[in-house]
Order: sequence, then structure tokens, then C-alpha cells
Amino acid sequence: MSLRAIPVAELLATLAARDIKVWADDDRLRCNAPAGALTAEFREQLRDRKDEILDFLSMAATVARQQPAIVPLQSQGTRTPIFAVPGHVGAPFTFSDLSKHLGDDQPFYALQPSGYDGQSEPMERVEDIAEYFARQIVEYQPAGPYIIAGYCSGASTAFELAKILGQRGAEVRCVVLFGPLYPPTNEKLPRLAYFSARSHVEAIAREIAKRPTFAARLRYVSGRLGNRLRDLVIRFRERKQPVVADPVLESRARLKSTAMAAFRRYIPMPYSGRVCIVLPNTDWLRSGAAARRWLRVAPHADFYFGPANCRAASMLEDPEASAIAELYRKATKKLND
Amino acid sequence: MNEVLPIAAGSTAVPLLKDADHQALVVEYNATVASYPSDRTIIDLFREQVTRSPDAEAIRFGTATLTYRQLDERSNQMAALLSSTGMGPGRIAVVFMTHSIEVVVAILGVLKSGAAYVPVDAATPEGRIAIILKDISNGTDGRAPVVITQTGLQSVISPSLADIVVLDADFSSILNQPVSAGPPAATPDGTAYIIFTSGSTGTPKGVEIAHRSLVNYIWWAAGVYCSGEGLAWPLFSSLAFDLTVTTLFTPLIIGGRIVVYLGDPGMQSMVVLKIIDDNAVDIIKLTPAHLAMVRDRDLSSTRLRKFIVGGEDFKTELARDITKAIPHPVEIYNEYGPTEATVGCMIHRFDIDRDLAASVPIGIPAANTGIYVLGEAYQPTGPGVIGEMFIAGDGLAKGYFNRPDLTDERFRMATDPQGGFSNLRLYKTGDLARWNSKGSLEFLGRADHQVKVGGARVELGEIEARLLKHPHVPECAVVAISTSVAKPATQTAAQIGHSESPAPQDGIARLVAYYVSSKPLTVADLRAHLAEELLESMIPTYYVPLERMPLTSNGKIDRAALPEPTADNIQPTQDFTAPSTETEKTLAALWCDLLKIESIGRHDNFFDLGGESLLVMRAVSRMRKTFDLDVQLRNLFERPTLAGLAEMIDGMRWAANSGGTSLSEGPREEIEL
Repeated sequence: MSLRAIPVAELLATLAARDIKVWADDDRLRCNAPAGALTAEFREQLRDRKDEILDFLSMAATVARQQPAIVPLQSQGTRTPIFAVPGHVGAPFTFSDLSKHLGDDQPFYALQPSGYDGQSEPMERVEDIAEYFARQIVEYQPAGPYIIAGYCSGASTAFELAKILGQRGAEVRCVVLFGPLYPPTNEKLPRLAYFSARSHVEAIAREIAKRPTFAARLRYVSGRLGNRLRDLVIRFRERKQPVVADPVLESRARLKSTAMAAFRRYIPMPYSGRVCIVLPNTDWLRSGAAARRWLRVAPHADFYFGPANCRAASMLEDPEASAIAELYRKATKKLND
Repeated sequence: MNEVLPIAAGSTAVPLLKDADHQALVVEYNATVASYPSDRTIIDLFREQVTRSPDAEAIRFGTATLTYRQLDERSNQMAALLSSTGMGPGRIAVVFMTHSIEVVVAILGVLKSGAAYVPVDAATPEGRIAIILKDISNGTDGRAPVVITQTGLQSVISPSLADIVVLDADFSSILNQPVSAGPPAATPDGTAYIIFTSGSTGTPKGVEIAHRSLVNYIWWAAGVYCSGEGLAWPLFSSLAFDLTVTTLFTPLIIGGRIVVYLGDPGMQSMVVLKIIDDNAVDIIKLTPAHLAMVRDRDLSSTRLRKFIVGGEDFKTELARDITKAIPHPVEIYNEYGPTEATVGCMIHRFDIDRDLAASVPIGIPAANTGIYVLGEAYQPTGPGVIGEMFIAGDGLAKGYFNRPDLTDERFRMATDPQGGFSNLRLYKTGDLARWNSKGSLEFLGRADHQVKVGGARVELGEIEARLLKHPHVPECAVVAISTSVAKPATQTAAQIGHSESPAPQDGIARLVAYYVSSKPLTVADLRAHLAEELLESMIPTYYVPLERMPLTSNGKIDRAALPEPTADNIQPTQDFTAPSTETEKTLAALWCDLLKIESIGRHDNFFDLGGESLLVMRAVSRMRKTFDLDVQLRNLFERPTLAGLAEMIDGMRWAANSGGTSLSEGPREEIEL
């Protein structure tokens, strides 16, 4: 194949095979080769495709220095960039819908925790996770201002991250906590158990209320009990069968349990910067998430509430994400005012 | 410590319904109370018309005609024959006949005997008829139903399942019956008909309509469509389709004429054209798909003055074309209604100047009907919020025949959405709708067309509505498929805000858009058009152009008959270019395997192809293993196309290998460019 037709990567590989080294020196292309190795055709290619080669080398250099934690959901835009910590599952996609609703002018980076990729190990302390994110953010964008966001249990990491960045002199315009769980420092397990049981009971009560007759309600309850029993039987049977491990699911499970343990251990300390707390709905104030407790460490926090039927688990997904994006705009508009 | 802001100050929550909206959208909109002869049956109303115009022509088929008196007498004889075999209130007679004068006689005869009729289309397969007959038998204490049929159809009915009356063969026995009316047997509360519609489980379900509901609808329809005129109506659509009920009874209570047309089974489209060419009717009721076939006919001298369109979404463009094609003023009505609310419960008269949206509105509730858009817990929704449409009123069916569980599920007692403390019986339509800012109701397709694709809830109706707004797409259907089986996925029943993925566990759900276009369109065109209003997750992955949409015998789009999307019929993206470099080819093979896709082009985007959450992580994991490079999740977001990511991988490989020491000894030269 003619050298003219081959992609830059292949051209460079062809050169490398002949021990011809090519590198960028600002806007110049430099080349070091064994005497005689640079044929006229190679020279012509290097000259004619100089810009193309420089672009490739620049991209390769950037990729080599990349910060794995910074996942650009939307890298364009002129507004203050948002760096957002997902919940305990660590999925950067959590913010995809919200980012879309915030538009093309709002840079939005999800933060991928160590351990999410299945290669590195998950970190065991919220402070360490926040430190890791802080380093990656500063490497990626050395100067602020930043907006730091967090969802669910990731809110604690976001809170800590904002403090670390602030302590290092970076300008953190605002910390936005979406449906945050307050770390259950005192009543760890009982509170979580209560929270979980209550949400279950409420969900069942809602379903029962939808049934028009007593018979239909009875059918629903018995059907649910039956399903639960069947699940238990299946689970019991599956215990006896060898399980084929899925590395992606395994790493997620490990990250999840480590992140939850880190979250439970975390004790937030007072923060004087601006904090906006976006709750799925007003009922969330009475939930086990203990949202009001954030006022102990962020006494000036502002609260914003989503629609009555918005649920915490899906508040950042469509269709709820649009209302939550509106709340974000409102919160940051105040900031600009 | 700060006080938590009150909701009003701190929230931009989507409101449920403000008082003013509640008054306008729930109370005033449903102020539909109208008097009608609720103490009489459809037979009473027919007999009153017979008294008013005994010698007027009631029905015509070719050159054969019957006057009102003759139709009355013939149906009296039919009723007498049926009564002599034990038919009466509480009994059911299946009418399995082709379109004819006799079928109308049979239906009136059944009703006069006090029994209910079950219309079954002449093209119905034997197996389906058997299911219906067994269902009727099970629901009537094991008693075999009576089937009224014709010689040519008799063989389809198993004698073990029904008592068969062959109308043409037994005609002499009918003529021996008295022509005078027997004692009234039907009552307003009695069942007039049961129409079997397809059920989601594959078993047909019978919708049981009482005389009172039928009278409420026909009385209203006669007022709206006929305004006292005795119009000629063509009887051509399937009797098993409740759209036909309008044509069957409305003319007979107001002195109009039924003109019978017989079409080959499954070829009703051709009959529609024959009706136009015959030019013997003033008013026609049909589906939009059938009306679309009329569009290209010469309508300059038609006597048709009124069109009632129902059954499917009615495009404004079609209504406009018909209006313009007919020189005299025409009335075009869009009638909406499920079988469970007796034929039609909403109406809109098309206005060529005002109706500028893509679809003709479904309008306002019919007489004695309540239409509510409700969210969870039966709360009326506010403007802009998608809810499910519920219907209340005198048109509601008695329920599903012999299916108390299903009746409980779909017909519910709930607090009257208009307020107060009384309970109201509501039919859960499964149709999604929302109030727009102008206070009109927008129909958004079926709730059971709500699917989950790539983790996002998707309303197929909303995608179809947007696609139909394309000026060159008159018809379309969007379905979710599982790529591992490549068949349209079963649409799962879903409640508002709750849905399950249609994808089986081993497949990845993808959206396929089937469309008919008036000129060739590119995928890029279609995607750009959809992307103007829809979220990315709602943009179909595949596009299949069709010459025409497959239709059911009822004239609706037959989703089950849509072709399986294959490499042959999927429209390629305009800029499809095959992977060229080795890295691109390796990466394409990896993505194909992961996404269960046959081929991927250089410019295809991983996320557009259905890559989401777990698949992204699996892709990253496999790319690392395949290329032995530290590929990161972020790389896929930065370079989501095949060519883009392949180039980045080449860059990584270059960066990883370029730092080595020189392989060769000896003199070297250096150049700078």
C-alpha cells in the first residue's frame, strides 16, 4: 500500500519499525533516524502530513497523561464546570440525563471512583476518595472555579472534596448535593434498617392503595408473598450450584460494599462555603436520609425540592431529571445574583 | 440554624393541578350531562322509527332493498325463531356472517329476543372462533351458544361447540314465523352485544355492552352526525370491530339507510374504493388508514358530506387533503373511544384553519362521558404532565365477559376526580395523554407501548408522534426489539411511572422505526428530525422503510406483522463506511459481539448503538484485554465513534511504544520540519 494512503498511526508504526523516531517539539516535528533510513518517500510524507502527525502525537500525549477519574459527560461550554460524585455504585452514568438537561453550555464531569474499573482497588475512607478526586480535578483543570456535586451517598464525598479543594485555595462556587444521605454516624445500623423498612412498607402501601377492592388487595399481598417465597427457594437452590463470576459485576459489588462502609464511617466537619441541597420531594425531609442534619455542618445550606411524585432513586433520570435540572439552574442563578 | 425553606419558596416542583386548571380541565371539560332515552333499548328506538317511516328504505344491498317495515317484520320473524329455540335475556348468539341484509336482520332479531349478539368477522380463523365459543360456553354455565351463520361459513364452526342456525338454509323456517312483534324482551340493563377484542395474553376478551350504553352512544351520534337527516351509510367494515356499531344502528333510529358492501376477507381497502366509486352514500365511518386510500381517488363529484374517522391517530395532513379534494363543504370528525366505552367517547370536528398540529385533536367528551388524565393514586395531572386517560360515564361497558379479574383490573372505583367524596367507576384505558398549554388533550399512544431501552423509560407513542411530524412520513410504527432474538419484543403492560424492559434477559433492547415515506429519506434526516424534540434514548437505532404498513382487518397497524429487522431491510446510515484500519476492524468485531449487531461502520456511535451502563464497562474491560492498553471509561465518552476511539487506541499504543531505546547502532541523522 502506498504510504500516502495509510493512516498516521500506521505510518508512524512503519517508521518505528525502521527505528525512525518521531516526536513533537511545540509546533515543529522532529525526527531521528539511522543514517539512510529516511528515504525520500518518508521525508515527503513527514513534510506533507506534518499537521496530521502533530495532531496525532498531541492526542497520544494527552491520552498518556489522562486522569481516569474525570469522565466528560459534556466537555464543552462556558459555565462553571460541574464535577459530580456518583452514589455508592460509582456509576458515572448516573448524571447522564441531568447533564443533557443542563444543556450544551454546561461542562459536566462525572467522577469515577477508584475500583469502578475493576483494575484498581476501591478506597476505604471518604477522605481518601475525596483526596483522589481533588488531585485528578486539579491535574485536569488546575484553576477553578469549580462546582462540586454529589448524589446519594456520594454527597458525603462531594462535601469532603469541596473542603479539600477550598483548603488548597481553589474557588469552589457551590456544593450541590442531590438526594444526599447524611452519614449515619450515631445510629448506624438501626437507622439504615428503619430507612430501608420504611421505604419498603411505603411502596407496598402505595400499591395496596391502588387496588380497588379488598379482594384485589388480598391478591396483591398474597402474590407478593408468593413471589418472595419463590425467590427464596430459587436463591436457596442456586446456592448449591457453582456460580460463574462476572468480573464487571464482581468489581461493582466490591466497590459498593467498600463505599458503603466508608460512608458509614465518615464524620462530616463544618464547611463554610455555599451548599445547595436538592431533595427529590418535601417528604424526603422526613425520610431516614436525615437531610436536615446537613445543617449541622453547613448551617447556611439552601434546600430545593423536586415534584411530589419524584423518587430519590430516579431523581436524576428522565423524566424527573428535567425538573431537577431546573432546580439546579435556580440554585446557581442565585449564586450568580 | 436556617429554617428549611417552605415548598413554595424553595421549589419549582411540577404541580399536580392548580384550582383554576382543575376547574377547567376536570370540571368544566366534563360538563357533558345530556338527556337521552335511558329507559329504552335500541330496539325500542328502532321500532319508533319504523312507526315514523314504515315505507322508507332502511337497507340496500345491490338491487335488493328492505323498507323499515319489512326489516322490522323480518327481524320479528328472526326473533321468534330464536325465541322458539330458547333464546332470550341472558343468552348469547354469535353472528358469524358476511355483510348482507340478513346479517342486519339477524342482529336485530337477536336483540329483539332479549339476547346479546356477538359479532364475529367472516374471516376469523377457526381456532379463534373455537376459543370465543368455549369462552361463551364457560361463561354461561357450560351451555353451548347459538351461532347464526351462512351455508358458506358453516363448516368453520364445530357442531360440538355451538347450536348452529344456518340463516340462508333455514330461511323457510324463518318465513313461517309471525311477522308481528313479540313481547319486549330486551331491557336497558341487559347486554346488547359482546365484542371480542384481542387480549394482551393472546386470548380474546369479550367486552360486554348494555343497551343503555348503546342507546346513550347512538342517541348522541345521531344528534352529532345526522342532525335529524336520514343519511345513507355504507356498511362495509368488520362487524367484529365496534367502529361498525355506529353504521349499524345510527341510521336505523333516525330514518337513514344502510347500504351494504361485501368485500373479500382482508380486502376491505378495495371495498372503500368501491364505495367511493359507487357514490351512493352521504356519510362514512372508517379508519385513517382506509381514508388514506381514498385520498388519491377523484372526489370532485362525490356525494359524501361527512367522514367519521376513528380507530387510530388521525393526521391533520390527511384531513386537509380530503377537505381540499371535495368541492362542497364536508364535515370530518375524529372520534376516539375504546370498545370498553361503547364505540366513541370523544369527538372533534376538524377545522382546516385552526387545526394546525400534526394530528387532529381527539377533542371533547361525548354526552354523559367523563375524560380524566390521571397520575398515580388517581390524581388529575396538570398541563404538560403525561398521565393515563381514564373514562367514566354511561358508556362504560359492564365489564369483560367471564373475566371478573380483568374487569376488576381495568374498571376501577376511585374517588371522583371532579372532587367530593363520592366514588366513580373509571375505565383505565391504557392510553397516555397530557394537557397542552392551550388546554387541549394530546394523545400519546399506549401505556403498554412504554418500554425501557438502555435503562431509560421510553414512550413509543411519543416517538411515533414526533416521527409523524416529519412532512414526508405519513405512517410509522416504532417497536422495541431484543437484538438477540431480533423479533418485536412483547410490549409489557406498564403503569404510569413503572415499566419493565421488554428485552429478555439475554438480549439488548433496541428501538426500530418502521415508516412509509412520500420521498426517499436518509437515516440522518430522520435522526435529526427526531432529535429536535426527543431525548437521545428515544432515537431509534434502526430504520426500516416500508412501501405500506401492514394493517389488521380493522384497518389498524398490525404490529405483529411488521417485518423482522434484518441486515437486508434495515436502512443503512448514509455515511456508512466500513472499518478500514486494523484497530478499527478489531474494535468493530469487539463491539459487534458485545452489542449483538451484525456490522458497525466507522462513524457509528457506541451509545447510539445501545451501549449503556454495564455494556460500557464490559466494553472497556474487553478493550483492555484485546489491545493490552489502559483504556479508560472516559475514552469512550470522549471518542464514542468507532473511528475516533480506534484512533485514540492507536495513540495510546504509540505513546506506550515510542519511549524505547534505539534498536540500531551506527550513525544517525536528525531532521526538523
